[in-house]
This record gives sequence, C-alpha cells and structure tokens, in this order.
Amino acid sequence: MSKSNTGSNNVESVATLSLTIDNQIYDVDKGQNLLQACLSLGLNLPYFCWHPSMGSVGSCRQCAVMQYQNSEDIRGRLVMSCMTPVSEGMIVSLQDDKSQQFRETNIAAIMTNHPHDCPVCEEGGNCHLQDMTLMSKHINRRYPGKKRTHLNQFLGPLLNHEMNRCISCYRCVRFYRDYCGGSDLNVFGSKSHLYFGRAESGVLESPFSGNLAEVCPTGVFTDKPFSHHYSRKWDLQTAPVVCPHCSLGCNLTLGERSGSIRRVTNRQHNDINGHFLCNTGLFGYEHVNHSERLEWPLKRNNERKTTDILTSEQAQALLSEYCNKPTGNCIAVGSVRTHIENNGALLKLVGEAQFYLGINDSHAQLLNLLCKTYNDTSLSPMSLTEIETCDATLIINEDITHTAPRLALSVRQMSRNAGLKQAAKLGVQHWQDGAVRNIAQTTLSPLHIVESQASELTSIATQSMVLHPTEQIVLLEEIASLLDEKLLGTHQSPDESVSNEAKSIVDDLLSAQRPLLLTGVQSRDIELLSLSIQIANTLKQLNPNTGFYAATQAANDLHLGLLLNGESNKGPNDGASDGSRVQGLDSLVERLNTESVETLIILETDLYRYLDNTQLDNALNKVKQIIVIDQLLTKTASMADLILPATSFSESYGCSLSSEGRLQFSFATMSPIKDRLAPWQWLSTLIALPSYGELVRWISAKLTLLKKMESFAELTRFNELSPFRIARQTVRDSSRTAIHAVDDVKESQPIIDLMAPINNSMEGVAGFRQTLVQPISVLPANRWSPKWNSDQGESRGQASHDQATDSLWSIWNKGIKIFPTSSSMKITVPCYPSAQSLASEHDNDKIRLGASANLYADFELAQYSTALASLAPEMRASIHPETAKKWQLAEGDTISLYTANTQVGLTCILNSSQAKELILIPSEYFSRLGTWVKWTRLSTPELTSEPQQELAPQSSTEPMQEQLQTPLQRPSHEEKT
Amino acid sequence: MSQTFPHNPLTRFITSDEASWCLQQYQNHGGYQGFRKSLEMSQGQLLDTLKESNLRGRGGAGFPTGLKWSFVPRGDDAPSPRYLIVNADEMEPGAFKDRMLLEKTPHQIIEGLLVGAQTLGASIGYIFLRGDYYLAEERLTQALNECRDAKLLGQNILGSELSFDIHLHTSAGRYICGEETALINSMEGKRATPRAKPPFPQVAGLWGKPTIVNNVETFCNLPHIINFGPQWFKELGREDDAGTKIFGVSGRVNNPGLWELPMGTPIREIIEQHAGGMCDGYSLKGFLPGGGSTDFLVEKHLDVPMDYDAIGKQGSRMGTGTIIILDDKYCPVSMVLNLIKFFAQESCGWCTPCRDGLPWAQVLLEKIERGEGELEDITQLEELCRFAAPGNTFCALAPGAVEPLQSALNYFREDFESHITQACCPFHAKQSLKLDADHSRSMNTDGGESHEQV
Repeated sequence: MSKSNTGSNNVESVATLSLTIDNQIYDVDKGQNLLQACLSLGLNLPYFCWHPSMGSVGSCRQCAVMQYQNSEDIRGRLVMSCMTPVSEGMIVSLQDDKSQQFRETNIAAIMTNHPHDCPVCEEGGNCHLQDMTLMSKHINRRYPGKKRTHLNQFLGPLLNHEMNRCISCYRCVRFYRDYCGGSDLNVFGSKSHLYFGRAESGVLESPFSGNLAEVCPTGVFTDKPFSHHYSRKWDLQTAPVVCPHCSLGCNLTLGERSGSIRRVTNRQHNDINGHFLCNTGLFGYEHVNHSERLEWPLKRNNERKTTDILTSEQAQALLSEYCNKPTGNCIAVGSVRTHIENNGALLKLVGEAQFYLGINDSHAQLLNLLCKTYNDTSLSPMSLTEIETCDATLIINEDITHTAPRLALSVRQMSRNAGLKQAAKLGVQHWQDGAVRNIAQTTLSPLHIVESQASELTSIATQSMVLHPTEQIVLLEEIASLLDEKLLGTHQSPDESVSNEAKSIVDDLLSAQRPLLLTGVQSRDIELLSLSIQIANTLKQLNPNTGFYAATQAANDLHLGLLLNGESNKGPNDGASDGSRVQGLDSLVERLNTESVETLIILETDLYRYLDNTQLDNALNKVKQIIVIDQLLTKTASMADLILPATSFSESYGCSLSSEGRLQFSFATMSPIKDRLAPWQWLSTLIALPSYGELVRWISAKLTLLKKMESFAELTRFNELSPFRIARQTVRDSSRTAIHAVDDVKESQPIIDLMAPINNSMEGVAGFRQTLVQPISVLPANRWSPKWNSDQGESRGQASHDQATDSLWSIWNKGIKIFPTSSSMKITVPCYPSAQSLASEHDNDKIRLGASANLYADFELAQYSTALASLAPEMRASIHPETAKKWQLAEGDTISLYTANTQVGLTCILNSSQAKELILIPSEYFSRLGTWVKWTRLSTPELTSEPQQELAPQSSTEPMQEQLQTPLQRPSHEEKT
Repeated sequence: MSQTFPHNPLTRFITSDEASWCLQQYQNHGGYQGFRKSLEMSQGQLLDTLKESNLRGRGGAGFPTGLKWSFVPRGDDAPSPRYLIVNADEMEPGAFKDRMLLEKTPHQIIEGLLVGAQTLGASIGYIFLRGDYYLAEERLTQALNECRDAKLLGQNILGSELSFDIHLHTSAGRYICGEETALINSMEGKRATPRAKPPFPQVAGLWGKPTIVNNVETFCNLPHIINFGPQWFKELGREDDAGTKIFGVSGRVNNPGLWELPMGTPIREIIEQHAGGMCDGYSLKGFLPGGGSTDFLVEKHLDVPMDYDAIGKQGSRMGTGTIIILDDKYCPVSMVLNLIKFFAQESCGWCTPCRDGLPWAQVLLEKIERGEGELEDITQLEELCRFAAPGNTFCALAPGAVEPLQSALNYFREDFESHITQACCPFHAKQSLKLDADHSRSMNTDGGESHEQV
C-alpha cells in the first residue's frame, strides 16, 4: 500500500532505518515489509501474492529470504519477506543457497500445473510469472505427473478466462472481493483444484473487473478487447496520457500499433489512480479507432446535397472566410472533452461574449460555483490518496461509483481505516492484509450517504439515507445549522426538531480526525451544492484537516468554470452577477433563437446530447454557417457546413484540469494521420498564435489560475534542453523498423516528435530505469527494466521518497494543483438562495427528476467502445413502487416526461430502494429535461404489442420522432459463448 | 476433602455399557464438582491453578494450556465477548480418542467449558464437532439441553455472575478445520484456510474477538484439575509431563483400543501390555507414535516414555497419542502414499508447498509403488520434505504431512530402493495382493471435478 507516498499529509512521519542485505547496508523506510523494501531498493526478489496496493497474505511463499539473528548466526532462518516487517539492524540474505533453493523448488511446484502455452498466451512477454520463473532459476521440469485441467467461463465482454494457467496466488479474489467489494468472483474448490471464477458463467459485475487482467500475474484473466487486435507488448508504442472520460484525471498508458490504439494500461499516479482504473478508463479507447472518426476536412454542399472532401489548405481558407467576415457575429461552443488549449484558442477567436460552454447552463452554474469556492475559500479538493486516509465521510447525493468510479474505490479504502486502526492497536501493520481483515471483521469507518437511490457503496455505509431531493436539502440545512452552532459556540439546546440522522452525521464528522465531504454536480442542484460547500467550509474552520471533493461530470469540465470568469475574477464584483454570466448551451439556443448568427463553431461537442433535439434543429437551421471541429461524426457534425477533423486524446498533446483541480499534461501516443489536426492547430493562424508556446502564454495571461500551464509548455522546448529522449517502445531484439516490414521492406526513419522528448522507437532511455540521466528517465513512456518484462515491474525500483517536488519531471508525472491551498479562512459562503425561486418554479403537478448515472452509459466517448456500450443498462425511468401505485403506474408502462420545450418517453421500472415521489432517469435525459417535469402516460405493455424503449407521444409530428431517437446508440456486439 | 483422588480422571465416568450418563448420573458421581468449585475462585486463581498444573494441549502440539490462556486479555476494558471453542474435529488419521470422550462423557466436556468460561470470563462457547460423529452430536445435544434445563447454562449460572451458553457446530468435514484459525474461519462462514499469525486467536479470533480453541481432551481435564488440585494432576504423570492421556493403538496388534494411562508411560508398555502385543506372524517394523502426521519411530524407541519432550527428542511427536503400527508384512511405501494422498487431498490450497508440493510427492510415491520409480525420485522426495519443512509453509499441515515420509525415507530406505531396483512393489508381489485401484490412478485424472459448469 502506498500509504507512505502521501508525503506531507501522512500522519506517521517517514523515518528510515538501516538493514543489511547480502552484506550491504541499506537505508529503507520504516513501517514496511522486507519484500517492499527490497523491491524499492531495486533488488530482484520474486513474488506473486503480494501486491503494493493489497498488501501481504503470505500465500505463495515465493519471496522467501534468509534472516540471521546476528552477525555470528550462520544457519539463518527462512522467512517470507512479505510477512516480515523491516527492523533496525536486521540481517538478511537473498543470495544464500538455502533460500535460492527454496525459491527454485517453490516455483517448480507452482509450475507443476501451469500449461506451457506461452507462445499463444496473450500474457507472453508481459508475464509476471515468466519473469519470476526465470528470476527463480527454474529451468528443468522435474515433476513427472499430469497437469490438472479446468473448464473456462464466459466473464463478459471485457475479460478472457483461461483457468488452466492459474497459479493460485489469490490476487484476483483479493482484489475483486476485498479491495473492490465485488461478490460475484470467488475461489471454489480446495487443495490443488482451486477454481477462481464465478458460480456460473456470466458478466462480471464490478466496474473495476478489468483490472483483473493486470492483477493476475499470468494469463488467467486477459484483456478481451485487446485480444481482438492483439499485439505483443514490445511492438506497442506507448505514451503517458490522461484518461478522457470522467473528471478524476486518472493516468493511463496507451499502447498503439500501426495507427490504432490497442490497449490501455494503468499508469501509476500515487495521488490519483494508484494501481487501478475503472472499466471505462481501461476499455474506453475504441473511439480512436472507430469507423466514424473524421479523416479529412469536409464541406457540405447544400444545393447538390453532397459532401466534398477538402484539402487542409482549402479547409483553412474556408474557415477564415467563415470566421473573419462577420466579426461580431461568430459564436463558438467550447468542449468538455478536449484539452484546455483548444478551448483557449477558440475563446481567443470569438471573445468571451461569443463563447459558450459545451454544457447545460445548470452544469455551468455549478462549475462556476466550484471554481469560485476553490479560489476564494480555504476549501480545495483532496487527492484520492488523501481521501483514503480520511476517517469519516459524508457523501451528498452523488453516485460516485458511476460518475467518478475510481473515487468510489478510494472511498472503499477509506472505510477500512477504522479496522486498520484496531489492527494497529494490536501492533499489526496495515500491509498485513489477512491479519488486518481478521481483526477488523465488519468494522467500518463512518460513512454517511445522502442519496436518492441505494448505490453500490450503500453496503459499506454506516448510515444510508435514501431521500427525496427536497428532504435532502432539509437534512443538509439541519447539519449546516448544527455545525454553525458549534462554530459560533452558541449554546446547544437539545433541539427536538433536528433529526437523529443529522445529529449522528454531525457527531461523526466532528469526532473524526480527518472528516471528508464528498459531493458532485450529478443532481444539477445549485442549492444542494452550495449547502455542501457551506457545510464543508464550516467543518474546515472547526477542523483544518477537513477534506472536500466534488466530482464533476466530464474529463475536462472544471476549467470551463474558469474560462468565462477571467474578467470577473479580477474585478471586485462577483456573487449574483457571476451567476447571471453563465453561458451554457441553453443560453446558446436562446441566443440563436433571438439573434441572427452568421457562424457557429462547435468544438468537440455533440449538442444533441444536451438539448432537446427539435428545438436544437430549429435553432441550428437559423445559423448561416456551422463549423464543427470534432474527432467523430456526431449528429451535430452531420449538421455542419464545414467539418474539420480533430485529433483524439491519443494523437494530441495538451492539458486538462481534473475535478481535483489538478492540471495534467497528456502526451500523444501516435502522430496524427490523415488530415487530422489538434483543434488549436486548425485555429492557430486565425488567432495569430502559431505555436503551442504562444497559445499557452496567451491563456495563462488571460486566466491567472491556469498560468501553471506554462510549465508544460517547457516540454515543447525539450529537444533543445536535453539530448536524451525516452523510448516509446520496450527494448527488443528485432530491428527498429521490422514492424513495418510487412508493408514496406525499406527501412523508414521513425517520425520525429517535436512536441515531446519521446521517441517513436525503442531508442532512448527506458521509462522506469533509474539512470543517471535525470530528470527525463522517470517519465514512464514505457515500463521495462532488466528481468522485469511485465507491467508489474512498475512496483519495483520506486523509492517512496518524494523527489524534488517542483522538478520538471515531477510536474509531468504528477501534474500541478492550481487552486490555492492555504488561502485565508475567509467565510464567503457562496449565496444561492434559490430555494424560494425553485419552490415557486415547481407547481403541484410537476414531478422531481433525478439522474441515474451509469459509468458505461454516461461518458460520450466511451460509448464508441462496443464492449462498454454492451454493458450499458437500458434507458428506463425508475420509480418507487409506492409512488407508482399512487400514480397508477406499473412496471413496463411507458411515460412521457415533458417540460415547456423538451420531451422524452421512457419505460418505467419499479425500484424499491429509491426515494418516493421521484423519477430517476438516465443522466443524458436528465441533463436535457432539468429537475422538474410533468408527465403523462403513453402506453401500457398490454396495449402496445411491441413495447418500445422510447415511444413518441400520441401527438407526435415528424421532428418529434427524430427527437426521440437515442443519440448515438452503438449496436452492441455481444460475445457469443 | 473426603474425595478419593482418581488415577483415571477422564474415563472414570465411562461405564462398560454403550450409553453415556445423563446429567443426574453424572452429578451423582461427582460431576460438575470442579465447576462448582471454580465458581468460588477468582479468574486469577483459576489461571494460576491451570498454569501450575502443567497441563499441555492434548490436540497434538502440546502447548502449555495455562500459558496459552494467559494471553487472553482480561480486565474490565478487555474486548468482549470472549469465546471458547472445543476443537472436536478429530480427523487425524489413526486418532479416535476424542470420539470416545464425546460419545461417552458429553457432560465432562460441558463442565470443562464452564470451568474455562469462569476462568476467562467467556460468554459463548462452541463445540466444533466433526460432522461424521452422529452419535456424539446426538448425545451432546441432549446433554446441552439437560444443562439448560438445570440452569447450568444461560444467565447467572447457579446464581453466580457467570453467564455462558454453548452452541454445537457440526463441521462439513475438512481435516484443515483442526487447525485452530482455519476452524475459526470455517465457523465465520469463510473458507477454511488458516489465518496469518500474529494476531493469535487469544487476542483476535472468532469475529475478531479473543478466542480460545482447545482440544476435547484438554477441556475434559479442566474440571479435574480444579477439583483435585494441580499437585494431584502433576503427580499423575510418570515422567516430566503432568496428568493422564488417552493413548490408543491401531494396526496388527492383538488388542487394539484406547486406554487412559499416565503421561510418560513407555511405548513398550502400551503396545505390549495394553494392546496385547503383535499378532501372530507379524513383527513390529515401525510405528507412528501420535497419529498420521508424526514421524515414524522404530523398535529401538520402544522404551521411550510417551511424553511430549521425550518423543520430541527422538525426532517425532507425541501428537494425539494414538499409535499406528507398521508391521513387517505391510509395504511402507504404500502406507506413506496412503497418508500423503490424504494430506494432499485435505490441503486447503492456500500456500504453495502444501497445495502443489504434496501432490508432487504423491505422484512420485505412486510412481515408485507402481514399480516405475527411479533413484532420482528418492532425492526429489527428500527435497520435497525439506520444502515443506516447518516455517516454510503457512500452517502445520504440510510439515506434519511429510513427517511420515521423511522418517520412512530414513528408516525404510531399502524398501524404497527395492521398489525401484525390482521395478515392482516387493510386498504386493510377494502377497500377490492387488493394489487399491485408487493408488495406481493419478490424482490428475479426475481433473475437472473441482468445478462443473452447469
């Protein structure tokens, strides 16, 4: 467990001790086990069941070393290094004959049943078992018996299952059950007939199941989408990138071959994703390879009803023609799924008044509030690793398992802290995983969840309150006032009106050393968010260790809250005027309807996901020219007059801002092919900022908070700064260009990457090798070091001490948190007293809506991955059975939900674990409809012979039909078993 | 004290008929006297008595019971509830001593638990019973009901402050459940794999609370130690160890069975006097002194007293005290193979030396027994014995499992070699006995058995 990596936030101070390993004295960190210490020293010690994030259980016995009592002791005692804490002056040997012999026999025993199918195994060459077998010097097979065999299971579209390869290290079940809280993977049987799988074939339920491919030290669980376009590890070009889906900004390594992305692996970031990602991050790369990727600039010819392919020069000319003529009448829409630079370039082109954010107004309002809070108050979001160290948590109406999945995994670890504390009392270290769990049993840290429906985390919640949003507000107000009383020291009279729930939440938060408040923008409720901020703020003043996190909705949406605040931030005026400055898509439609607009540039946003489709059609028809810069042919792109193909996250460099306020730089894995360009490059001549450096300087001058982007711009000058470059590929025996030999026998020079110090070949410094060539050698373009061919070598050779925190490489690796962390404790509780306005807004016949998030359905780009799309649930409206009874609705009925200008039809399902008087609908529809709607019944299953998922209302007209199409539903290619 | 001091405390309640005594009979013969006496003593006094008695755990390891119990946190702020568990999962090959106690003297076990509860302030007791012991289950259930009716279990037992109840848990049947932490996991509904130690169950056991797990026979001794005093108990032993022990002999002897004898009784006396010596035509080749997971001893060890340390000095263990005889007409390879097969089968699958090392040894032994062995196989077997040595494995199963093998390789090496040089099993060839069909079949042939896909 990387607890020691949290640096200054770590409660226990990092101290070192010295020990002797094979007659050499080393200094290592206290409080770790011997195996971890050896690996961090870069020593080669084989292991299987230990995992840096999951600790030790002592099952595989592979990491045995000899321990000596003192310098006179020559006999020694065999100990399992993973189960042995380091201690001052301890003497151990990895090289002595006895322990080497034991490790050799042990791996020979492990290999008795392992098939020798390495040539056809996808793990081959990237296999921890292969590495360990060689490292333990098991060369001759002596076991004369037969091997046991198993039947494999179908585990869904994400993972292959090949049980014969299993070496029974128990890592998969420990990860799946203990670490992620999953229940449908287990170990069956006993003795040498262990079976790791499900009770019966079926899709693995956990949103983190994909990690099993990396957790498994051999090829039992392998990446299924990868096997559809498999490549050996050493034929992949890799680069460090940032995940383009949810707002957490997890770090990935992309693997590319022949112009297509083949796989995603986790890139360890000690403050964010650690060793694990969610399935969306792991498998959500298919949009890069998708057939709907735009390749060339396209112009629609309305008269001839054709589409012409343009050269990039023609496209540039047309672009400047469209944009330059009506200077005041060119409107642009920024994107949440592009890098900051691209939005910046667009903002420069059209100016603030003409720039609209590619999100709904309600969303933009929340982002503004968050940015303002982070900037003005002492609240700033915690990192995921810090969250894992908290000891009491309140989650306010955000289904983080689906809106920010990796965050939910961190909350799971947080909830173990009470148990870890118990274990620590008995002198058991946190990495003694089995012992800790036996001591902790069902002990959980306080976790209170205020939610509209039971979620995956409900099972580890000490108190789950499933409440209607209006009841949630009441509860939060109670909590806020209890905390205010505490802060102001007013006499606490036992107020009868305050609920017990509020009291118990406040008690837990106040008695915690590090309380944590988690919320998000999922519910689009400004009142809820302001109350959450208010509570966190008060708590922060009572306890400076208080943590806060607000999950936002897309990879790069938080910076949109900053973009249009550039001027108002400088001026003293803020508050209400700020709220009115929201320029989201709803405002855009309003403007398009009231004003004649010459040119509309839409950057990487599919407007149809956010707005009522009829209304949008009408609005777009009024615009003279529509320019779309996008990676994919979205529905919006198909409405454009000029389409410019953009690079995807795999082909572009750029910064993004995570919901943690962390600015991170993402590298291109491959060079752009066809006529694709980064959006800012399409605009660069128009805005007269031809180079990346100039663009970044303009952005940082405009938005002071983003000034730190300039550090990343240094990268573009890196070729001048250092002669050393990092290899994208691992070392291999074949020649550099042999990979292209099937296409062309001539050896071509690798493409020179001018933007980053990463070579498109295996030449250069390997990513993880600790060399004297500082600082670039640590940037993990690929993962390889001698004897450690598999990705698991990553946990080796990592000194847990933080290097100089502001060195260039550490910025690349860790990003920069942009919001001030130590600002004064001024109480500027953002005031959004919209309760009255909301109350007046909804009259009696309106029903409250809530969003039902799903990690497979909500992220636009991930929808292009067939495997993920096939896991997305059906689009339904869920209602509490009692409410349904009251409204005389039955399961399967189709209802229409409508507001003044939007309408959606959905089939009902009943859900008894949600709040009453509330309809929960998929996030995408929720963002279109808003929070209060009216509803009518459309049909019941008995009346319609063919119950459709969505039905047009009876009065439907032609465009109405179109509006009700599910946007971009990919056909799901379900695996055949 | 008007009581007479018995020489056979454990079996004095056993009559020759097949029945066990009911509560009335048991009490009439002095039952629950020890418990009543313990109610008048403080926890400290009881623990001191236990320590002084030098009682050692009768499950096989022989760990001093008083010392073990002293690790349980006591005092007002100690974690509660505290649990007592009777390990009645007797599955050691050749051991059948607990069965007799369970079937014949259920009240003695309950009384032992009650004394234990009073000693440690435990509030819940479990009897973890081997599932196959139907009769014991029936009699224990009846005894427990009798005690509940007589207010010997429940709240404020006999008007004292002690509140204690006992649950009977019948095991689904795995040898590994005899390992105390695997037993605890099993009771929690988890897989029966041993736990990492520390923490020991005395500190964090069942449901994470302080727990004592002891063998049936150990608990049975408690009331008598309290009743008759530690000095009496110590004097029962003939050598260093205190008390009596239920010894047993199986194999080709004239009178196989169980006897309660003083600790330190010489092996020769047990085999020749009590078990009636070897059957006609058979002579003693070797014996396992304490059940299937102990090293072989041979004729020269016959005068060693059955004491934990004395047997230990000879390179074996007293284990459960149930001796298994190997005669000169039975193939030692076959016997060892049978045992290894059992242990390989009963491995929980947690750690490598046991999970994959024992089946490897089994494959080699089968090969030798079939007459297909090579001399190299003996070297490999020796390597596997070292591989599964104590400390190398997660629990004591594998080290115990290879004990008969490593000692057989030592004492009966020529038999292994003759299998190889003659390319057949000399014993079976001589007696023209057919091998058990199972022996010749590799364990691997039943490949997919562990998981059927439905």
